Amino acid sequence: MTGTTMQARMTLARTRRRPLRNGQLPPSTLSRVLRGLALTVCCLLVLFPFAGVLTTSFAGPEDVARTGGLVMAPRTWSLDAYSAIFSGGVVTRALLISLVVTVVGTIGSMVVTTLLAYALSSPIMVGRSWMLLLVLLSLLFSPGLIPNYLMVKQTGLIDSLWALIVPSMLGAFNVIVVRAFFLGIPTELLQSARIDGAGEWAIFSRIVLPLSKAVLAVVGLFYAVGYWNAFFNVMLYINDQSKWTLQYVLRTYVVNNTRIGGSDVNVDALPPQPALQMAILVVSIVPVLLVYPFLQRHFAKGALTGAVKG
Amino acid sequence: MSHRLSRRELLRAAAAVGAVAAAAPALSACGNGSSAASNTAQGKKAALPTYRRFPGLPAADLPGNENGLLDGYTTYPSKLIDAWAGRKPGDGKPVTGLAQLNGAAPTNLDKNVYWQTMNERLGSPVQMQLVNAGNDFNTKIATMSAGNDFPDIMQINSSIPALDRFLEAKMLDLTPYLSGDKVLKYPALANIPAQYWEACVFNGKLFGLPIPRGLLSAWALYYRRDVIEAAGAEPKVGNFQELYQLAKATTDPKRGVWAFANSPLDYIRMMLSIPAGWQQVDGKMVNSIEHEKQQQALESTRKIVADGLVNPDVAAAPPSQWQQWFGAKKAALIGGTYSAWSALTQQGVPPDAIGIFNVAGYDGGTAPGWKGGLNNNIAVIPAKSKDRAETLLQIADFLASPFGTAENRLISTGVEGHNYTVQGGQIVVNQDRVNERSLGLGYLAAPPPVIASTSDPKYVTGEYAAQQKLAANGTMDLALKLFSETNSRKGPQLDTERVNIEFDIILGRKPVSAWGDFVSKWRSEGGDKIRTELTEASGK
Amino acid sequence: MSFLAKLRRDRMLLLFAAPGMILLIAFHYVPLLGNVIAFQDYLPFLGIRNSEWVGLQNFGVMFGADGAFLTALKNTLLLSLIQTVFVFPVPILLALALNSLLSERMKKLVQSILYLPHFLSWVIVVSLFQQILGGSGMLNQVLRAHGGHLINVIGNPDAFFALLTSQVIWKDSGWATILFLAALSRIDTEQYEAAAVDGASRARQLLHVTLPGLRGIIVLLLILKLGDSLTVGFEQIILQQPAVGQQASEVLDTYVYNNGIVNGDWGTAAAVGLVKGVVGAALVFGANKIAHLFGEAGVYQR
Repeated sequence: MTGTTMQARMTLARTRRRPLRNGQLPPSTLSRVLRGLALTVCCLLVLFPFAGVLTTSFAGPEDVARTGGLVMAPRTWSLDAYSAIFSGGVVTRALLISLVVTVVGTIGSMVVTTLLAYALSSPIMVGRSWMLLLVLLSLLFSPGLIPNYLMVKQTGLIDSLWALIVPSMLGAFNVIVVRAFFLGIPTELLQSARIDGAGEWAIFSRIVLPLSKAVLAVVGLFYAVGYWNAFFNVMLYINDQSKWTLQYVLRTYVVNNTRIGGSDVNVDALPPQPALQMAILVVSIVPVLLVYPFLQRHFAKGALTGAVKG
Repeated sequence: MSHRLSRRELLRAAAAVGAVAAAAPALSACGNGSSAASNTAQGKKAALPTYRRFPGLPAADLPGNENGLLDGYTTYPSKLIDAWAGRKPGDGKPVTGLAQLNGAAPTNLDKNVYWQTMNERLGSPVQMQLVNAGNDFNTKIATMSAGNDFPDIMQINSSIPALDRFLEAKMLDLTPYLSGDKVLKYPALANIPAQYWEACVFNGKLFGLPIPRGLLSAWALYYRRDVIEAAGAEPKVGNFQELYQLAKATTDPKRGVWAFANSPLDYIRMMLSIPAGWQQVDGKMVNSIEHEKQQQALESTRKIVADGLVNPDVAAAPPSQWQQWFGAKKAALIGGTYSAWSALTQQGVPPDAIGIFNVAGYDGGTAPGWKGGLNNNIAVIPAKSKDRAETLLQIADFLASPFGTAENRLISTGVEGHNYTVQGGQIVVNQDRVNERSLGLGYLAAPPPVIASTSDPKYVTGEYAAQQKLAANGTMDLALKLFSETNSRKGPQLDTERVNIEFDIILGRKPVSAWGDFVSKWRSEGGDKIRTELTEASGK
Repeated sequence: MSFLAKLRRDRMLLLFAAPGMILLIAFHYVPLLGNVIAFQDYLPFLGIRNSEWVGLQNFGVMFGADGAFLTALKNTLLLSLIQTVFVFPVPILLALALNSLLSERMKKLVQSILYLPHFLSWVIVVSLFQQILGGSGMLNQVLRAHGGHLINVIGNPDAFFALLTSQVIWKDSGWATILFLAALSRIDTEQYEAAAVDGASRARQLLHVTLPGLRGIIVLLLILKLGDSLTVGFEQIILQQPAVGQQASEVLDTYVYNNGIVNGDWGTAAAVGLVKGVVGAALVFGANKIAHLFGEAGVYQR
């Protein structure tokens, strides 16, 4: 606290206006108000429907029967929807499986992606240009779903959680983004390390990775969310319902029961569908909400500053 | 005309990653569609199983008939037949199955008393692969076919392209097991009337087990008496004018009420005596698309929409939303299958406030209506399961145990004392344990449907009454029983185009005359070819 | 240097690249060979071996007689253009606005809120928009109660592109800011300070320090987006197609869906996928070349 104040006073002496911590000058009052207003409006636009999602998940059957859809202001609050989705253990187990797949998958993806991106950022490596070309073209040409399935089958991964991880482990887009950030690291830094006799592994792990925390946090988040949200692979590769992920279970609530006059003549009453849908939606978002602030720390602040000076 | 919802269903289900990844059609996975299968006339009779009523079944107090009227039971039988007393159909080895999932996922096996009990009673633990109905299900079947990864027994829908070739290539011909009197070895399967089996015969061979629905999959117009009476009107429709006036009276946008929750086009078509799908008229196959009254039906519906009597979001909202409007008194009328009744009362419609309108003639009198699909789907046994075919059929026989047997009660309602209790002769279902039953077993084999309800006696009498006229007069799409290769390959696309042009016209985006252009396009894109193939199949 | 000597020299880097390249080849390029079904009447139960070869027939879907394909192509390109112009800059502006917020805590809070909609599937987003903005939706019911002028957005063909665009902005722009925030975080604080010492105004700081710092990633993303020009929100659009009609809403992917995939016609899907890939590749490499002319790194260089 005191350190920051000291520094601030010193900079104040140098400039007309006190710069922000990241070195930018503060905006004028008018633009600050406008900016604040714009962001507030944006937040409200997002929050309003979300409030609807949340309140509907707590709405009792009478409320849903009254509004016939979203319930913005439930008259009776009820946890029925939550207790319904958590009864029977399906959602709890799916939550656990999603967590495992996401954690293991993200770690694997990050290892593979950063290594490849680092190799591709080398200006001299033999074969780097055709490798980069393959990465890039994979974004443009996608294999069909059936050949993908047959490949996964060949590797013996059907009905294994690895089927949800291995085929989607390398994201070409992420490789390209990470590589672009790696290319942005001053070459002098890498050169001087090489002159000091550092090997590729040392350069990669001690210089490149620490300098790229921001993009690693972002790409890690991309991967994690990708694994978290995936449902299609579950449908294709997983037969055993005890291995379903949360998103697949969510999908059974969102996609099903949209037809009128279902074939099940003897279906008995379920809790009000909108409440269920919204409750499981909330359950699927909360974990992401909990993890985000930890990652956010890394891409909200500069990482390069100190290193270059040092 | 029959797949009113199929496209909507498929759209809802289209949450697949990207267009190209999506896949395959989702025709009539449920109820109202052109049912699972069709076939050629040659040798059909030879392949059909003999019908023999299951011995000792309780007589229906509202008896059905040969026209398709279903048996109605106002009370649940108190004495159940113990059909499998002490015996088990299974061979102790696990049985894998594929079925579509319509609702929530089933409870885990370790906490699922129903599933445990089924495993025990079947004598073979069942391992189901459950896939969301619609697109997901079709994609799953496609990948399974490509990898030859079929389970022991599986549900299929009519949406498989080149269905007859698919069956010939991959599925077991059941004729040697079930045709004629051979079926008598399986008394519950023998209890399924021939009309349902007819749709399981392809190229003269019996390829599947029917999952019968009968008239429950026909299209009906439901009304809410309470909403109509609150508006000072009467729930009565004698002709189009009365329907229009009724809708006018119940519509009140300020209170968020529009008479129709969904498009009344099909009901109006029925009022105009336009028949269902393909019909033989004077020895010639004709599709109702070509009927001369189509433009009048579209014109009338367009007027209803233009005058603001249909919820303005009808085309934007999914069917589940229509149901919620109806349940929340935001609509007085809704089109749905006959089986939708209980789903609608679950949406909050009081049991004594719901009803089905008989089909009134456009200018008075009555009109025949459409009978809908026979089967929800068919179940098939992959050829590679040949060695276990008899065991699998025994299990199917158990699953098809008819209403009035203890097995049927177990399958459809669950374990007494756990999933339900009997209180004073009434069955009270434990709602918290409903998910235990969503294993999809009912899509692998099922008895002929009956009209019965654990909780709602009004449903039984109301549904039975509504079906009487339809059974006597209704028309049935011939494509449900006859197979056309082109229909199998192009049908879903033609159907999509039809639904699109219907929306375009009734919402006023295109003139009614655009229907004529559509009909010629439909004919050249496959309609005429289907006509030829169906004519051949009918053997005339 | 001989090839072998190079291999020796780069053995460590090649080892680094190996796992990623193996995954790419195994799970992308090998299955990609399956796209030969573009030239087949492919039926899954027959497999590639037994399905009938039909030459270029599957590509015929792109040359339908009634001009429906051209409408779809036109809609696709227009929508792509609109989304590039209106959607692409939004996260950049948001990132800049966030970056200039004074309070770190505020910044994190706002960001956490804005990225939420990314986690809703299109089925839910479309349904939320309809329930709030639809003809019988919340907003219009309030307007009806107060005798206001009704808004007609949902199911209005003329407003469809605007609706699609605002849905995309609502759902994904908060999420898309994080990449730009990461890029912003790399800009050296000293550069700002130096500029300030030189008497640069805030606007000049933005122009001469912030934007150049973002330029690389913006160009990169733009080029990749260009490769995707023929792909515009399939799921989002097909869900809303009945409400506005095909004339207003048909794009390439929905066209292929409605004219092939709906029939389980895998060959057509593969055929159109190939054509889209070729067009995308041409656009990406063209744009990349242009980027090079302007001295940018682009996505690919030899």
